[in-house]
Amino acid sequence: MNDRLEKALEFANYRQTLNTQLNKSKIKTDGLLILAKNGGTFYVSQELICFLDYLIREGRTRATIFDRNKLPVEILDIPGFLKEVTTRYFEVSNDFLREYQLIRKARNVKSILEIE
Amino acid sequence: MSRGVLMYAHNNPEIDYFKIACANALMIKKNLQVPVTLVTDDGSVNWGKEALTEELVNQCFENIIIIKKNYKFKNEKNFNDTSFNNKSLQFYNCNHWEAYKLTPYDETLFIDCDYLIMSSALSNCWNSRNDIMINHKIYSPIDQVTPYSKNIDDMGIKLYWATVIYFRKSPLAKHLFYLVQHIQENYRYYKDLYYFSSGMFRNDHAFSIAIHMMNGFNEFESVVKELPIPGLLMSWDVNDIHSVDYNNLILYVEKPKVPGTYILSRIKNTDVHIMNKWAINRYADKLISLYKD
Repeated sequence: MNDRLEKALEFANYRQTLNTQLNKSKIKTDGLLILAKNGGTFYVSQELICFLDYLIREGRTRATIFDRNKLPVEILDIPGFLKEVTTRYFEVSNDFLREYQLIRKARNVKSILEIE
Repeated sequence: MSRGVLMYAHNNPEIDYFKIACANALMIKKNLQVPVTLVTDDGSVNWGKEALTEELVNQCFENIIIIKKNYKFKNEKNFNDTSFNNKSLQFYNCNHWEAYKLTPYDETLFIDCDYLIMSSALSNCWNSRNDIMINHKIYSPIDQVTPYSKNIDDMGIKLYWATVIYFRKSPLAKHLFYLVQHIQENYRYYKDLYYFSSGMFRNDHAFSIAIHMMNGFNEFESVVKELPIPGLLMSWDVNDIHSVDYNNLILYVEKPKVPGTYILSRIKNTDVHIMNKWAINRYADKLISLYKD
């Protein structure tokens, strides 16, 4: 195998490793954005945050909301729930950003996988 | 309301499921902080106590339920240790329907012993309003897509993965497990009815059929709900383990359509189903020492 081909294959391996690590990281983040509350499970999203904020602005403190399985869940303290949801959102998104930057900056397979 | 994890481990002549279950029980204790009950047989537990010491076994499990094996049950399975090594061995999995009556908990996470718990994601199950939760979405370490569903055959019904099942003591869960028993006892009939080619008994198939029946033989609205995870991470048996650390492992993942060539993949703080049992067996001692107090 000549040098150029060997380098091209090495680069292909690097790109594949980088893309699969990023995909796993995204799916892990999706999992961390699932929040259990009152027997239901909610996907913490910008949409949920906006909806809870709307309810508060409408003067509601309790409401029935559909969870990710489309089951109705009664939330008795909407402001408290919004706080919980936004805290989770920022914790998870900041962790993802850190991981994403580490992976994007890595220039070889060893550093993507943090192998010393 | 009592909560805990239930696992099964029945050794065959080459694969030490008991040791894998011990390693995973310690991982569960660290990550989910719940008690673990093991369902096993005399031979496996005696071998385990001798190989690992009784003290360690007691540290791993709160309860050990010993059942009598049905030696008439024959279920040959091809076990791969990467694409280069393959062996046909007995796979004793005919008693998973008994989980409902054997579990000492009100809320049970019933998991395969080779589904390694490296995160607290499944803690979101506790206190759920759903009586049963089971996933149909999976993904593999080499995928570059979001988790996806499979069918039991090209033209078949949706495949549910019995790798992880959450259930609470309830009429719905009881009916599901009794249906699985009925399907297992009449497996040849259901195999023909649902057109799947493999003759080997798989709990994934039995649970998928039972769910299909409970849904009124349709797939539009399911009586069982999804677990609070995006999908099950599956490392197929053609992959191998490169190294393990605390909640962290690196896999050799075989490239699709290029047998024998691998890329490395790091799994961090994510639960993973390792289908290559020999690979876990090779690293079980290391896992035990990492997670043991």
